[in-house]
Amino acid sequence: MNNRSSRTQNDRKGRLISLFLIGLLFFNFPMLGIFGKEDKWGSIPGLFIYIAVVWIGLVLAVYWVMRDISGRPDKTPPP
Amino acid sequence: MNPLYIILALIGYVGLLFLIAFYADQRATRGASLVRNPLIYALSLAVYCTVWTFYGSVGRAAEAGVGFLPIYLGPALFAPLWWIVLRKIILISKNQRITSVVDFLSSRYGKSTWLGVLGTVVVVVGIIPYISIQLKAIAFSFQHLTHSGRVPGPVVEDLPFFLDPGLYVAVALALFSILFGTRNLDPNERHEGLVAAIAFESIFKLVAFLTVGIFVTFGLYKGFGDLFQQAWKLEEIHSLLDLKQVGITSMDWFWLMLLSLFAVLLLPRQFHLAVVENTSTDHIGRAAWIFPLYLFLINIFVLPIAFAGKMLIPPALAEPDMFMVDLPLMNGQGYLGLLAVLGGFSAGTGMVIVSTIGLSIMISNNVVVPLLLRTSTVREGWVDDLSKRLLGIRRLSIAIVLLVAYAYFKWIGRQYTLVSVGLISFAAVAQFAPAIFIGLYWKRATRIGAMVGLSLGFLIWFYTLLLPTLAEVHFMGVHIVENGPWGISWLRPDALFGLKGMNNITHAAFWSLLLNTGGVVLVSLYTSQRTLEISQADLFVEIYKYQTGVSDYDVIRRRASLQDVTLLLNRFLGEPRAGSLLQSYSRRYGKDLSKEKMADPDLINFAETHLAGAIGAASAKLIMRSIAKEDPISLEEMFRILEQTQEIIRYSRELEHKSAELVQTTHQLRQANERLKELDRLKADFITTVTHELRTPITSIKALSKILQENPGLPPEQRDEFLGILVSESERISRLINQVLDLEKTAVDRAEWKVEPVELNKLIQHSASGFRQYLEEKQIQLRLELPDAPVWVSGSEDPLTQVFVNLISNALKFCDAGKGIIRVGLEPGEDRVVAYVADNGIGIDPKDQQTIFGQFVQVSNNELGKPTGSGLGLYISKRIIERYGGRIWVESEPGRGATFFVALSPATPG
Amino acid sequence: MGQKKPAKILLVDDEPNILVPIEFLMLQQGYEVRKAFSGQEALDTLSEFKPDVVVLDVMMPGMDGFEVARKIRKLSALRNTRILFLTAKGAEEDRMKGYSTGGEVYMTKPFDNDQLVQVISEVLEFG
Repeated sequence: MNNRSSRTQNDRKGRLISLFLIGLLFFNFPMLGIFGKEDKWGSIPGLFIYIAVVWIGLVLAVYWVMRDISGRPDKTPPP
Repeated sequence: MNPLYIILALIGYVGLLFLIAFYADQRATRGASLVRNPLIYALSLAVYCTVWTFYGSVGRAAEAGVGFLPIYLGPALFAPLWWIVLRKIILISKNQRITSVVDFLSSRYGKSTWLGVLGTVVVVVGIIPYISIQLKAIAFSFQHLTHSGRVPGPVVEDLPFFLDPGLYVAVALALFSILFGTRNLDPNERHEGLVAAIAFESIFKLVAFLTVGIFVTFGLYKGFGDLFQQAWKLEEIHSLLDLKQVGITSMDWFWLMLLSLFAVLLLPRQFHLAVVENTSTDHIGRAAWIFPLYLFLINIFVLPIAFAGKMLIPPALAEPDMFMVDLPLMNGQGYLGLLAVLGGFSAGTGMVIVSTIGLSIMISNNVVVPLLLRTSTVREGWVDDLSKRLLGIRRLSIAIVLLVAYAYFKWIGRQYTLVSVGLISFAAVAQFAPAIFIGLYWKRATRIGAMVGLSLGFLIWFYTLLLPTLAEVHFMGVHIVENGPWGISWLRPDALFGLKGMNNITHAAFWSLLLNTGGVVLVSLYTSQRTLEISQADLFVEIYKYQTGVSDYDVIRRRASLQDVTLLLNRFLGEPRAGSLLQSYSRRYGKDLSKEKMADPDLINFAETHLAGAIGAASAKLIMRSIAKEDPISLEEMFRILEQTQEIIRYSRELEHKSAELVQTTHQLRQANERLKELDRLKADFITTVTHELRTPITSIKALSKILQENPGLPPEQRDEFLGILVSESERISRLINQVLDLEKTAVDRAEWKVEPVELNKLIQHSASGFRQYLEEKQIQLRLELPDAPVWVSGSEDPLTQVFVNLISNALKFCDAGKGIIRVGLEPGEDRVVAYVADNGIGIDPKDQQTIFGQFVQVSNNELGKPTGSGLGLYISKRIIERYGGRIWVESEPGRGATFFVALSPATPG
Repeated sequence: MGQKKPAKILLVDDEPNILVPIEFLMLQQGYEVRKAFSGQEALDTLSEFKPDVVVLDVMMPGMDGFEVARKIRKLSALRNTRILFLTAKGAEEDRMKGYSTGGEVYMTKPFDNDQLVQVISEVLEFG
């Protein structure tokens, strides 16, 4: 029981750190340099779309990793 | 727009804030908290988005396209790591009652006063321009609104101060901060009203931004597609999307992200809301994705609004920082413009309020109080209730901070954009990152290392970023900036050591953080830590280990009179609060304080942590030192520490070598260490003995039972022999277990041991009778020399019987079969009764006579062969006798036997 | 294994109750067994008994097992004798000490009967 929860804790840490590293890669050059001013989707700039998609992806991924830590409003006053 | 409406709207908005804060405070006192949930927590963190976000992002986007983004990408990227880093910081801060980012720093490095002062200077110098720029933007946006953006009015900075809206904003914000930020002293009790108001402001500014964004994108244009379609027709806008053309390099991008990543935790307002006001670490779980989502939403319309502004507002009138207000106004949407101004107002006020409260806590806890305490007159002349005085200091510092910020905006800040000043502040607080983040994971980081690193970083920051701004307003000659001091070009503030090709922020961040980190690491490697530093470092790095324990242990044991401690608490926290604290202490630890005269170390630590909440860790340490004496470490205490952490021992051994700094304590420490080493060795011996003692019987039991199982046809004699061995070896194990359990029993002081009159001569007789058979087998004589009249002592029957059984069996072990004589007797006396157990065995070497009563000690003697007991009997006996206020000792001449004496107090039969 | 003559095993331990089961197991394998209850006694027996394998305890009063092993290694007549340490001391450093004083095998107590038999037969077969 204890073992298991500490394992999931470590798994969670590993996942969070990988998310950070992936984000670091996608939010930096040279990845950003791929999109020039001529890259468009319809008329919307490619860079705009790219950053928005990565950003939302990051939000969803963190939500997924942290979904069981609800931090619901606690009724009990702190000691 | 009519200025009257604007003023009414502002008053209405501020009134609403007061109401919300007041209501939340009311709810908190009723125990039905409004703010204890992850959503409010995440929203309060959005205080990160200031007027810089609200106006400045659009302004920057109009000049540099996506160049405004790294400031938001950094925090969004950092959010996944909060669960690891921020959670650790919160746990430590709750444990140590930490009140600010500077307090955290000071506390980590041995509660250092000077580090706290240095840190506060860095923060105050770094943040005041940032606060001032908020005031400026708010004032500027009012003025813009009243002139409907068309006719440029007089520049706000040039208005006489009594006509300047900036001044009134500053006063109103000071009032709000004082009212909701300095109501009570222990920030651990938190300011729920403040948090509720900030969360509301975060919602408000987001709604305002989104409303303007939707109006521009979907009202003035037919959606994103249409807006961008139109924008492409202007080459000027089109080229904004080419990162190379707008001059953003990968270096700049990366360093801005890094700075903002640090800022989102280390800025005083962020630290205050994320750590000090946090109510549960579980809230991080949701904040880690809600906060990046918030940043995403507030940024989605920045580019469209910037592009629309460039297309719709004639360049002559264009003030990109005010597109948010101007776009609605110029299209006849006065109320939307007002909403935008209110949104900007909410973004600015949130930042200013929390920042000034944070700064005032640092100034009072880490500068004013420690310095006051160092001047002895104040220490002696304490007035009745210092808690009121402390709140006064905080209120005064809030007022001063806002006044200075206002002055800065009036005289210096005029030609700086929102973004550039904000980044200068980011770079300032980033100087805390090396000492804090390294200190969180590396115990060896020292106070001196942190001081050197922070000073270097701060100096470089000052030289490369702040100095040029001062030069530009003619505080000093511009030539220094352009040619370097004394014409030395490699000292130029914007190209230090000849490093060129970066923008000034990247340049400054690179050099300051490089030297800062280098300073922390290298200096730490070559300096040593004081005792308090070691224990604090251990606590910070290993906080998860300390979570379970009730109280933390200290290497230093302190004593003080209870009266002094109570007096201190009364003075700093006020009597009602001090009273309830002491009550909760005595409840939690089950100690009746009214019966105590001296405060034990636990209580002193408890008082110190609570004082730290009110006045900061360094001040609390100073005050406690004024009343508490530090005990040398007792042997038993050291032993406890030995069991708890091998780490500290390692450190204290290292310390022993670095005696230069510890001339006074070296001697004591060395002695303690000797004892420690001895204990260490004894413990290892004991464990080896016990395991050997256990393994031997288990080995034969295991092997024999397997043989019996696999060979059912064994001859009966052999089977009986084997079974006999099994029985006797099992008995051996249970004997050993009993002995270890006895140790456990006496090691834990048992309160239920009664003290009652015991008839000692009867008890000795009874103890001796159990040995009759054994004595006959071994042909050893046992002579009882007891008086006829009953002799009464105070004690209780079972433990005392155990003592005499132990002593007699001990004597038997050392006697030779056939020749042994053991005498057991009693000498009654007026003030003590002495019993003795004497043998004529091999005796005990003088050097062993002291140590044999220790735990785990066996006198190993080659002639005797293996020791036959577990080495616990005498230790247990000593513990028992001392419990009854008696004494046990041995007298012996080697070769001529040994006599054990037990002295107990006489009693009258009841 | 021992086709011509039964192999000779010397068991050394100060705890007689441990030697009882080992002796039984060895006899069951058809080996010739002697017992010694101290290091000195073992050395006295050695020269005359010339065992193929010595099963040695380490913690014994007087001369400990390592000492006995060192002495055995000095006797040229016993160069084919294999030494098996059987001890409660399981630390890595003790193990190393065991090998360095000339032991071929190091086993910790409590042992497994089958394993002990197996190991001894392997030692006899392959040296």
